[in-house]
Amino acid sequence: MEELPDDSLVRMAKKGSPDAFAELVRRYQKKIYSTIFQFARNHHDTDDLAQETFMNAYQSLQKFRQKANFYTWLYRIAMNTTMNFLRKKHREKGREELKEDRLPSGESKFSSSSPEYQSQKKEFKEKLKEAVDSLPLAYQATFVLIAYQDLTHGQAAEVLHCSEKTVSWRMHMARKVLQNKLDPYF
Amino acid sequence: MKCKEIEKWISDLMDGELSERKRKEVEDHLQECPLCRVYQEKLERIQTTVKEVDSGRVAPDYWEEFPSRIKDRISSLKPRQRERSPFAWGWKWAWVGAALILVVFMGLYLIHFQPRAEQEVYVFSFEDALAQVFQEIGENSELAALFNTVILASIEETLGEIEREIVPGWEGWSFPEEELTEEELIQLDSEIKKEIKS
Repeated sequence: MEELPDDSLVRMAKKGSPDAFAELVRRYQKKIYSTIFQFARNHHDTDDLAQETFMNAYQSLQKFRQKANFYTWLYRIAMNTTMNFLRKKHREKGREELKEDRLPSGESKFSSSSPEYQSQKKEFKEKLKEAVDSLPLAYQATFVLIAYQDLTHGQAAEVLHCSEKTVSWRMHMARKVLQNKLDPYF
Repeated sequence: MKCKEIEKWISDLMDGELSERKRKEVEDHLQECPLCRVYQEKLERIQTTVKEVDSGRVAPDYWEEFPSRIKDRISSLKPRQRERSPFAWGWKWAWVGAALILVVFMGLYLIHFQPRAEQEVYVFSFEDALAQVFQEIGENSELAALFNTVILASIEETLGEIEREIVPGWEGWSFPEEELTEEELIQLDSEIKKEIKS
């Protein structure tokens, strides 16, 4: 089973083989989990959403015509499941402004020779996470798929149902926003 | 070459999605422009840090058990729940029948009521599309400012390519928004609509 290509496993799973579907889960669980984690940021929600993604995929398997790659289709389900969850969560929380505890601008605070290197590096990571989380969902999704998961613009376009040009512009805008928000921490 | 255009290309370059010609232009520009070099360094720093950000590490047991948990949930589903499609076999013939009836009625309508009056012309409403975009952007002033910059840079990029292809060497030529071709407006409109839907 481990050596079979995705297409064969999908066909077997469609015919009702739970083992074939479990093998597909085994193959993509880490990628799906780490993608969702970049939005949910906690294990509990990520675990729920990852399970939901695979259950949705299983229940929609008969509709999958196998024109696209299985993982692209699976990513799309993961993104839809996660986006719906986040929209619901945002609605519940209300729109909160991102707290910006900006440091005074001036000379660069980040230098590899600085004794505070590690703590500054940690701070930069935290600020980056906050900045990514504050991006509008469509931009966050595009950024996560490309910058974290190394998808090409074409693959991301397939997952997000938009053109490659849109993906390219979203990446540019996302990077520009991140660069602006992180400016005091460089 | 303007820095705004180069910033967009730097982003494409980082994703390995830039053509050879544009790549060369970016490299030449970076040699002359310290501001763009700093911008590129900042983006690279962001990219490097992204790779170090916690991707949700869990114990190895979790990965071993996860597929079994999914399998258990699948086996606990009732047969009807295993497929979510409304096109299950019981309904399939009903759908086919409904589609056939619809086709027959449409055919009859087209034969007997062929429109003789002048066809309605689709009016492209650029203003409405923009209004929707601004509604989406809401009070996010940062995004609004960025949207303006990006739209302008997008138009400049497209026009820059047209300029190179059709009127090489026509330096300083500008293209007022209201003179965009219908095709360009439609393309812009479809991009905006996609953004709104997403």
